[in-house]
Amino acid sequence: MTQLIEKINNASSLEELENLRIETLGKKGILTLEFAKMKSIPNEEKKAFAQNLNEQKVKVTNAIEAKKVVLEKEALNKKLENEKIDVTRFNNELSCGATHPVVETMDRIITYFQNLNFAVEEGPLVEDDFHNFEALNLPKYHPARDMQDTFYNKDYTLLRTHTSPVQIRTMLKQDPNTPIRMIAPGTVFRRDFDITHTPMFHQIEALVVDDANKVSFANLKHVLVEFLQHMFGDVEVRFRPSFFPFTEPSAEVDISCVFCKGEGCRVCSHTGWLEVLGCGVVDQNVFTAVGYKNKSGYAFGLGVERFAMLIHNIGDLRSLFESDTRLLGQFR
Amino acid sequence: MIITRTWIEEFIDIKEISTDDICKTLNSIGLEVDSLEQVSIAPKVVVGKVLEKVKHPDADKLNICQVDVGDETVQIVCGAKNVDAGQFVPVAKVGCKLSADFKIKKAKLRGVESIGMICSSTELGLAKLNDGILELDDSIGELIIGKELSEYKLLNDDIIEIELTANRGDCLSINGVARELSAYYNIPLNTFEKKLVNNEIGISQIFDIQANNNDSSLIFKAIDLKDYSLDLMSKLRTSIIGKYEENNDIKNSLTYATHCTGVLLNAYSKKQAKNENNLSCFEIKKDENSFDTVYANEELSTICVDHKKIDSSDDTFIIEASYLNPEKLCMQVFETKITTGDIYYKSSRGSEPDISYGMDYLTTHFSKHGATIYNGDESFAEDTQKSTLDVPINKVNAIIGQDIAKSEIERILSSLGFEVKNGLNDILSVKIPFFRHDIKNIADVTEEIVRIVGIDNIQAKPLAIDEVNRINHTTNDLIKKNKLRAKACENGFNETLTYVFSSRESLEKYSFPLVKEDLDVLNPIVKELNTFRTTIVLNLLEACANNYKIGAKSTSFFEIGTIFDTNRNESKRISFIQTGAAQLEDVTNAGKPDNADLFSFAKKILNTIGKFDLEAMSKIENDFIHPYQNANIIVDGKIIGFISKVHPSVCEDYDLSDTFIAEIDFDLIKNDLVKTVGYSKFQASKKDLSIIAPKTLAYKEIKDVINSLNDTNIKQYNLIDVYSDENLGDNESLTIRFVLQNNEKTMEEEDITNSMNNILQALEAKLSIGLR
Repeated sequence: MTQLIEKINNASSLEELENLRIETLGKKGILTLEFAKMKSIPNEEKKAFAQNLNEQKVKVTNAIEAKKVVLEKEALNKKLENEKIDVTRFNNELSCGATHPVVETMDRIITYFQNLNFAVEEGPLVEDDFHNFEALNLPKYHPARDMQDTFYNKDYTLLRTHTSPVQIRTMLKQDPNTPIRMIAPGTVFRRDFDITHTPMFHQIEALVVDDANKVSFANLKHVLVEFLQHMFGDVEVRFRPSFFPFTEPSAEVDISCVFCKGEGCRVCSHTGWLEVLGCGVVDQNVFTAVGYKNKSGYAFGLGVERFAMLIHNIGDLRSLFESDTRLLGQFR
Repeated sequence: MIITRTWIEEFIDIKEISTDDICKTLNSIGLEVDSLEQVSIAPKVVVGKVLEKVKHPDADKLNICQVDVGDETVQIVCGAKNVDAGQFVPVAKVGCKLSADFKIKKAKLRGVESIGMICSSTELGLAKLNDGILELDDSIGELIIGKELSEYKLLNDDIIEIELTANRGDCLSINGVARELSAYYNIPLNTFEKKLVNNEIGISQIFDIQANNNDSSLIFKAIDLKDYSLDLMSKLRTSIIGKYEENNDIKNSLTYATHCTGVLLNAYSKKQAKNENNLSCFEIKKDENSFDTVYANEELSTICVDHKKIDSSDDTFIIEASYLNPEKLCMQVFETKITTGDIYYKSSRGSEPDISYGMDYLTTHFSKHGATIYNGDESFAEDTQKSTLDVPINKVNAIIGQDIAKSEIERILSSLGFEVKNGLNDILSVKIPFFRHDIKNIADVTEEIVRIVGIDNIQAKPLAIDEVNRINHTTNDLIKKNKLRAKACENGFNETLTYVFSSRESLEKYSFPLVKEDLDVLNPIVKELNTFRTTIVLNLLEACANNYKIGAKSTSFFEIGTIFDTNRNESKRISFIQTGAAQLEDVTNAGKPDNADLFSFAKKILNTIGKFDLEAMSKIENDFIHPYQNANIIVDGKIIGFISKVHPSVCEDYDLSDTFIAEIDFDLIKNDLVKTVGYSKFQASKKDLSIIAPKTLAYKEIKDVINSLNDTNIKQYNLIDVYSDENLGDNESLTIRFVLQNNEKTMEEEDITNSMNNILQALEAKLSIGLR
C-alpha cells in the first residue's frame, strides 16, 4: 500500500496517474478486486475487511486527487509557458491612414468659429469678375489688381483668387435685414508657382454684418486675438494698418514668431513676427455693390497652408501638394 | 520704396529717434518695413589724396600711386582706370578687414610694393557707381585726409525698404514718408528753401511751348547744364534706390528729385525741339488714345505713362513736372490697353500733385550742382478744387469701437495735411489734400485716425450676438466629409490634396472626358496643369507613382475634392487608390505580403462609405478600367461611382504593380440617421447549400432569385466557397451559407428544410441549377 501511495506521489504525468487509478480503482483494479473478495469473506470478518478496504480506498483516492491537482496545475503552467511570446517583437508600424494637415487645420479653424456661432458657407471655384473683383471694390483698372495673379478661362470667367466672393454670394442670397455671421473655407487659385507659392491653396474667410454702427474694429480685434491664441498658444498679436480694397480701415495681423519666440530667426526673416492674417471693417462700397444700406461689418481672411506649416513645423509649402507619404505618414 | 536715415533727416528732424523705433512706427502706421540694412564702413579705411600717378613699368593696366593718408604717404599699386592724381579716394590701410575673408596686407604687384588699397564703392559695402575706384567729394562732409570713412555719417547710413500697399502712392517719396512720421511723432516737417541760380535769359526767348486741351497739370522750366556736375551723395542715393545710370547725370538728378518729392519729372534737350522762328518749339497734344504727349519732330513722351531715354549730350534742357489724376489715368490705360513705362508704377498709384514743389526742388537741386535756370516758366496746371468731406465724430468712433476725442482727430488730420474746420455739432469739415486721392469717405478718414492712434491702443471688445441656428447644407456636408475622412483613414487610406488641374494630354491619352476647349483655362501655369481635372484618379495614380519612385511601393490614398464635367460644372468626388501589397511586410507573411485584390479593396471602401452592391460595367468609359475587373458601385439601384483594377498597361506607363481605383459621387453617399427595425430574439441557425452552376452565370442571378422569395427567415447569406475541378467541367460548385432566424419562434429543422427547399426549387425553376 505504501508502495502504491508512493507511486501515486511520484507520478510524473496525468496519464501515469490515470493508469495508477485504473490499476487500483478501475474495473479490474487491485482494490476493486479486493472488494470482490467480500462475497467469500465470512460475515463476522466482513465489517473489519470492508472497513480496512474502504480506508485504503479513501487513502488512495485522496492521494490521487491531491496528486491530480498538482499535476493539473503543472500541466496548465506548462501550457501557459508554451504560449509565451516575445512582446518586443511587436511591429508597431501603423497600418491606418492619415488625415492631411491642411484639411485637418482647416477643420480645426472651422470648429473654432462654429463654436462662436459662425455659419459655414461655400461657393464655386469658377467665378465671374463681378463676384471676385467688382463687388469687392476692385474695379478693372484698380492698381490693386496687380496683387492678384489670376487664372482666367477662355469664356472670361476666372478661378477665384480668394474666398471673398463667398461673402458677396452670401449677402446676395439672403434677406439684407438678417445679420450675417459666416466663414467660408475653400480652395483658391493664384497664378504663381515657386518656393513660397502654389497655384492652388486654401483660405478661410469670415464676414460679420449687422446694422450700422454696431460692428466695430474693436470687435474684430477681439475675435482675432482670441482665435490666434487658440491656434498658436501663448503668442503676442500685432495689428499693422494695411490696405485691402474691400475693407476700410484694414490691417494685417502678425503673431510673435512661434519658432524663436520673437527673438528673430530664419522663419520670421529675423523680424520676430509672422504675418498670418488680413482683416478690416467692411468697405461701404462692398455693401453698395450688393444693395445693402446702413450696415456695418468686419471681415478677415487667412491662408490655411500658412497656419498648417507654422503649427506642424512644415518647411516647404509645395510639399503639402506632393502626396509624399514621408510627410503625410507622420500625421497618422 | 527705399528711404535712408540721413536722407529723410533732410525732411524732418528725427535725430533723437532710433532707427529701430522708426521701423516700429512705420509698421504700426501701415508702412510695412520689408528690410533694414545698416551700412558701416570698416575701420582703417581713410580719406586719402592721390599725389602722383605713374604707369607700372611691367604691367600695362597697373598704376603706381603715391597717396597721402594723413600720417604718412604710401605707395599703392592700383588697377582702376579712373584713378588720377589730385583725387580724394578711400584708402584701406594695411590691417584693414574689408570683409570676413578680405584683409589688406602689404603686397608686391609685379615686383612693386603696394601698401594698402584704393577702394571702389562696392568694396566698401556701398551701392555700385562704376567699375573703378570711388572718387570722394565734400558732399559726404568735409574731406580731411586721414579721417576714417566710418566717421562720415552720410556714408554709414541705415537703409530701410518699405513695402507699400497700392493705395499709398503718396508715400512713394522721401517727403511722403516724412509727412507720415511728422503726423505720428508730432514733429513739423522742415521747410523747403527754394534757392535758384538764374541766368540772364527768359525761357520764352529760347523756347516756345504750346499746349491745349491737356488733362494733365504741367510746368516747364529751362536749364543750362554747362557747369553742372552731380555730387557723390546724390549719385550714391540714386544707386541705393536702384536707378543710377552711369554717365547720365541729368537723368540721375531727375530720379533723385522725384524720389525726394514724389513729383514726376522729365527733361527734353534743346536738340530735340523743332525750330521755328528762331525758337525751339515743343507741343503738348493728344495722341490717338487721347493721352497727353510731348511732341516736337516726333513724339517725345507720353505724360504720366512713359518717359523716353534722355539725350544727355546737350547743355540746354526743358524740364517738365507733371501730374494726372491716377483714377482717370488707370481707367484710360485699362480701356486702351497701351503699354506703360516705369513711371506708370508711380503715376497709377498717385504721384505728388504739388508739381510746383517738385519743380522748385529740382531747379534748386540743379542750381546747387552748377546749373543755371532760365527765368520764368510755362505752366499748364489745371485749377482743381480740393474736395471736402463732413466727418461726424460719432461715426468715426463707431467704426473704431472706441471714443477718440474730437481734438485728437483734428490734430491727426491736420498733421496729415488735411485742412480741418469745425462744423456744426460733432462734425469736422475736412478738406482732403491733393496727394491723398485715395481718401473718399468717412471710413477712409477713420483709417487715418486708426493708423496714427495705433491699433495697439484700441481696446478689443467682444461683439454681442443673437444666437441663431446656423446649421445648413454646407455644415451637413462637412459632417459627412469628416466622417468619411475618419473612416477612410481607419481603412488604411492616406488623405491627400492634389491640384484641381490636370494635363489635357494625359486625360486625352486615357480617354477621360475633357472640359470643352472654349471653357478651358486661358493662362495655365505649366503644361502639366493646363486644364481642369475631370477625375481625381489620374492625380491619385500620379501620387502613387511619385511615391513608388522614392521607394514607397505600396500606398493607399483618398481625396475628397472637386472635379469638372465637359461643361465645366463642378461636383464633389471621393476617390480612392491602392497599389502594391495589401498588408505590412512582417512575420505573418514572411515579409512577402500578397498584392491587394479587388474584393479586399472594395471591402475597405464599403467600410468607409457604407453598404453598396457591385455590378460589372456595361460600358468601359476610360482606359484606366480593367476589362474584367471593374464594377459600378450601386446603392438603391442607382450608380454612385465605380471601382476597378487599373489596366495593366496603365500600370506599366506609371511603373506600378497591381493597383485599384474607385471614384464616388460625394453627394450620392448617404448620411441618413439610422432607423432601427425589430430583430428576432430567437436562436439563429446556419445552413450551407452547395450548388452547381455554370461558370458563366453571374452570382447576382442567384442572389436575385433568393431575394425574390422574400423569405423573412433568411436573415443573411453569403458565398463562402467556390470550387471547380475537371469533373465539373464548365460548371463550378458555389457554397452559400445561410443564416436563418424566425421573428416569432425558434426554428424547427422542418422550417429550415422548407426554406432551403424553396430556394432550391426556385433556382431549379428559374436558372436550372441545383444541388451538387
